[in-house]
Amino acid sequence: MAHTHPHPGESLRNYFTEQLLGILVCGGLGFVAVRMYSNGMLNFILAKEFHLPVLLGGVAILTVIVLLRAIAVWNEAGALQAPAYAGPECGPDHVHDATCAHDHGIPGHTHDHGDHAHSHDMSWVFVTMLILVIPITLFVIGMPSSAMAALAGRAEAKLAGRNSAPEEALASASLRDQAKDATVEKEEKQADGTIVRTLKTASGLRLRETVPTAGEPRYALITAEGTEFRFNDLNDAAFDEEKRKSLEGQTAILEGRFKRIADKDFTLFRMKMTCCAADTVPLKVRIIVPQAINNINNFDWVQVKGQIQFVKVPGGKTGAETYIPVIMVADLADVRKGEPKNEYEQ
Amino acid sequence: MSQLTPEEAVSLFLIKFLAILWEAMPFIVLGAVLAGILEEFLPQQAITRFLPKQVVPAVMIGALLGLLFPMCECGILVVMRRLLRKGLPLSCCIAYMLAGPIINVVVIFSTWAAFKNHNIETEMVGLRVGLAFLVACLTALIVHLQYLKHGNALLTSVAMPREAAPAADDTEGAPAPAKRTLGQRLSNISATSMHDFVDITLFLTLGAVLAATAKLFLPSSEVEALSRDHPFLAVPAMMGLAFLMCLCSEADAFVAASFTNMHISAKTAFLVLGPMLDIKLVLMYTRVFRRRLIVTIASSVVALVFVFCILVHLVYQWQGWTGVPVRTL
Repeated sequence: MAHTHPHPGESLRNYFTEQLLGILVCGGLGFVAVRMYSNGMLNFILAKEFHLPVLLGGVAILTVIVLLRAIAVWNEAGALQAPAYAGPECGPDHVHDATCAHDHGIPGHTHDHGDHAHSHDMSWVFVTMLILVIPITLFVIGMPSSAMAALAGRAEAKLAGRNSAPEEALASASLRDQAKDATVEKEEKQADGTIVRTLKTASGLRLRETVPTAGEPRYALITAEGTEFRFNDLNDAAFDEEKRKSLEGQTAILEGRFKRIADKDFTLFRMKMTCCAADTVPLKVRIIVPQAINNINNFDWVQVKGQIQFVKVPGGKTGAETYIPVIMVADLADVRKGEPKNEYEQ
Repeated sequence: MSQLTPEEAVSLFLIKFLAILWEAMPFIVLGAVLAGILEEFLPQQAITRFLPKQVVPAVMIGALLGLLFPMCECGILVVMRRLLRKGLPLSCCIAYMLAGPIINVVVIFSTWAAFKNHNIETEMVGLRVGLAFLVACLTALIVHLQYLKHGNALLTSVAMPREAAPAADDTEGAPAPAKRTLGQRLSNISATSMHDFVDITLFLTLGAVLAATAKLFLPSSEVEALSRDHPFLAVPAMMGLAFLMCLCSEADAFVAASFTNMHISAKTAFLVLGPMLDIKLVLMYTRVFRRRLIVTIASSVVALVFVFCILVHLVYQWQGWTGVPVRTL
């Protein structure tokens, strides 16, 4: 372990170079951490809960590591110049070993002797610092940015779309068929003899049935004002009969990326982030529209409003039934292009 | 159609890289500062006094140490390395390092929360904690046997117990050999902290680069589809995924839960292996252990997780339990 430095002066210079570079790079990292917290850049890569730790981490780097180290190195340098200097046990040209690990003038210089050969190799120090400068450089050139997050989100939706098993269009019964076993919630007779009924089907859809005095009855989905829903809540509710029943028939507004399955049938993707952008999971909600959609490209952002339904699909080989959330759209006008505030759902 | 454009690929890579790096960064700082304080204030051999002399109970305590000192897998390595230098037996350190990121309150709670909606939270928490304990203890014992044979040659010198150094400091721990001033202490703490922070962050950065690259090519949904039909492939496939994805142990349960139709045994494999072994951890391990020991730890963890999870699968089959999320129909 212990070894003698052949050139004490050079080793001392190396020590100070290493310390100063370390202080500089750590200071840079600490500054970037604090700055990314304050300017909102962290939104693109981390979930809210992790923003504070980054700030505290940055502050800790700046105080415990950078400030204290800078003071210590300053003092060491001063002490070296003062003629009276003599370390408690060893001077600048002493023999390093574990004995003086803590008591000589330049701590931190001690623990790594005989580690890898690179430990004292200055080129190793430079390579280390160069690698640590990468995140600082990225920050300086403005990364992560919202444009970058959008591109990454698009890429992720593509990957999720490519990897998921090919989906079949849902064979949905026409509204008329579904209305057959529906219960009537409200009935009104209008002046001209037309009867307007509000129906609730067995699968929870709310329909408006218009029966004119002459001719066929017409059916339409009832779309309410609508509230914003999270993909996660819908997917979670699919597991639980009670939750399914309570959500069915409500009007939901969802924002996600579009992926065509069939003319009137598409998937809406949204990435859910738990802690950071590395743990995102694609969430899907199936959308069924009344007419074919042509003007939207795959992976574009869309906002959709429609009634919530849960449709039973064949499960895996276990044979268990699986439900998937489906949004029934009444009118193509309820499918709009538009960017969300955040790429991820948190 | 779904081919990524170069801009998309680069953005995806950078976002993943920065996310992994900055998520882990605060915990490395915490670990490094704790390491500095431990190094300065904890007398040599002090903790060893509280440990039982026999290896097995000592290892078991090590594996449960995370309940008292919760750390995630990035931070724990830095702290563990200093504890090792302070004379805590290697076997104990290994048990703490492997089990600590799983057996702690934060991770137990996040696992419970992730699977609550699937109604399998009790099973998942039980299996994850139980298997983590077993795997950590057994691996620590295997390492102990190897340590008896090879001694400190298994460690890098940064991690070597102080007394093992040729010029051991006899006065360490004895009544204050020349009291250090506060300034000196702070200087020492900052020196250790900076050293450990730079040292581990370097390997974290390299690990994040590899993990982000792996992300670009990772067919995670294909893995899910494949293993749904071949349950015995699911366990190794999910282990491979855990190794490549480099998730934080607080977040991985939510990712595991997203593989809805996968058998519980495969999810457990993912959740037990991930915090013990992944790309960035292997790179970070090189700052503590020599290659021989890393190989031992890695192969032991992989083999044990595989065997235990297959056993879990067989038990489920034999009992006729479904092992997929229960649906209240």
